[in-house]
Amino acid sequence: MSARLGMAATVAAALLTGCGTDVPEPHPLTMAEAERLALVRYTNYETGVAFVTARIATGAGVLVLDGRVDFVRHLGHVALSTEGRSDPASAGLLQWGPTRVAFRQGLGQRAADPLPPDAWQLRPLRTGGSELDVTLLLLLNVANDRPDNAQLLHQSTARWLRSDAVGGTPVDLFEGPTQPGKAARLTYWVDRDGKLRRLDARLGDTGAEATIDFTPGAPPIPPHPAFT
Amino acid sequence: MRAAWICALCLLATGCGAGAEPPHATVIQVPGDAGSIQQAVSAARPGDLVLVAPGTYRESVRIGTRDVVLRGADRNRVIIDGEVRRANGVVVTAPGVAVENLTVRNHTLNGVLATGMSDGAGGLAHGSSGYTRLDPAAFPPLQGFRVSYVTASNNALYGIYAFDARHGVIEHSYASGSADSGIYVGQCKPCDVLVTGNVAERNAVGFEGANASGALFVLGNRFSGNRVGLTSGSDYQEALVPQEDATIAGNLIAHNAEPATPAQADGAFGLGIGIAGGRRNLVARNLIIGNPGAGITLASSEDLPPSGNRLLANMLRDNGIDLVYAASARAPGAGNCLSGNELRTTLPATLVELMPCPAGSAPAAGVAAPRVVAPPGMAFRAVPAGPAQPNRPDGPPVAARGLPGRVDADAVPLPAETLLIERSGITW
Repeated sequence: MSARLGMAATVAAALLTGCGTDVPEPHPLTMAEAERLALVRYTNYETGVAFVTARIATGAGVLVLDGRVDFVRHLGHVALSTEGRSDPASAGLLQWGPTRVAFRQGLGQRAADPLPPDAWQLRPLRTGGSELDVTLLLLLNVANDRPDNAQLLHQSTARWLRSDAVGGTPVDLFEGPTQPGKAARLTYWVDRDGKLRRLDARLGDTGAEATIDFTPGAPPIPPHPAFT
Repeated sequence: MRAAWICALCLLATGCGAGAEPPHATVIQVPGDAGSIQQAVSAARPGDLVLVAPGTYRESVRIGTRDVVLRGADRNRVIIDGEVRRANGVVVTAPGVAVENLTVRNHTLNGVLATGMSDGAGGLAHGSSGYTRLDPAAFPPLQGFRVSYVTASNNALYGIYAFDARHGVIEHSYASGSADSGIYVGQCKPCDVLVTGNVAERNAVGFEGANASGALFVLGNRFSGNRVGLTSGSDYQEALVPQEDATIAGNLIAHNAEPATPAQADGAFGLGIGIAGGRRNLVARNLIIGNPGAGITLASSEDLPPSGNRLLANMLRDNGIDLVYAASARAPGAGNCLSGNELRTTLPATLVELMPCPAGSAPAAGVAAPRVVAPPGMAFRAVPAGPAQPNRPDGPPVAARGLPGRVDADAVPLPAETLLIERSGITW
């Protein structure tokens, strides 16, 4: 989008707001909204395996993930690439669980392919300091085998932000509970069926941003032997 | 039919001028006399019967009036459905209330909850969900409750949950598909609670007693086909530590390695009975079979040892290990004793000699309990429903007073493998 078009869009938005159309303001969750948000992680759990794509802004460039995550088995499997780079160290296959990451460096690998048997390197998953690892952990934790407590969400700082759409599907945006003094926050894009379509994350340590899109109905992940 | 005996009762009561009794027990029919179960319950006076016709009721019911009996006309067809939106099916916060002959399913917390932790307006005090450390001084226990012939299916926390509640009975009920325990009794001392004739299967845990002490009787139940059959122990997340003086007798604890169940929070699988940080419990005449991890484990809970527990005349077979003593070095137990049990394998191997009755074991740590790798859990809503369950025999409403009465645990025999099999959907 050119700067001029962008400006025009901004002006149009201002006009829309100015002429008194009923655009709801962000607000604390109603009980019904809290019940909806409370179901998001459980709905992911029921989904089982979802396709995921993610963009993570890091100090070393924008990382792109493309693959899937199994919310029940706590297992993810993606191809990693770095925008603007084509050296072998900038890309690879990643499989991870709650505590460990297996990485297979190299360009041209796809998460949809059969699992290569060799050349994997195993390392611990870091719970802080790495935007990539924090995102990987987030991807496993955005599911739970039971609904969250709607009453507690209702009493929390969680907010409804606005309506929008993802790929033509109408969604509501909910900001999850925040902790005082912490930059970390999550924004859930939730469709009418309660499914999580997108997650915007401001990551705790660095304030770096990640955007993750979810599509339900992915096939199972062939596990690396370290995760069986 | 039901209205007829109520009237007969009224006439008799009026005729003999029994002033101490309520003048009559009104029957409030749902939907005939009230648009919802809650409306009926709110209109009920002590001693009244709220009788619910078959149907699916999409509401959460709170009972804050003492001595009310809430009864379904057909246990399998009176369904309070939380639609995985509402927290609890039925919440009892008044003494003497009975919940009978109905089904509660698909709640994000509990099917039926009885508790003294009320906010005074019939609702629940803040923080009353899940593991909660209550303040017993601020919230004195509920006195008297009964849950009878209730089917609690596919609830995200507990099927039937009593905490901060005393003098109660949970009987002839069926709990399945709970992401945590099918039946849970917590935070009472002394409890004076009887849990009997129930089936809990396809739950993460069949029955759980946490900080439930003193005259807690768990007798003649079928806790089979869960991930874990039964636990009794101490939990610092809740009030009234340590757990002590429960009687667990005459139960069938079999094949607790059912994969089509929600995951247990700690990843446990294949365990029959687990006592963690419990004292002076009596575990007697239970049939404990086919649990691939261990039949019974005695373990510590943080700094609380398993001490003074008596295991008498249990029959254990086909378990991974029949009996494991797993007390930690931090909290080694003492005074545990074994007598008359039929078992083949123990860890340590000489437990039978180490734990004579009545002398009990010398202070000692045990060994790490063997762990069975748990299969992935199942969403609680996806757990298959159990078979149709028998209805409560017809009869007048009786408030939950004077419970559980005299309990003769010694009279409860070692069960057969077929105990309550007609109410079970699990085969092996």
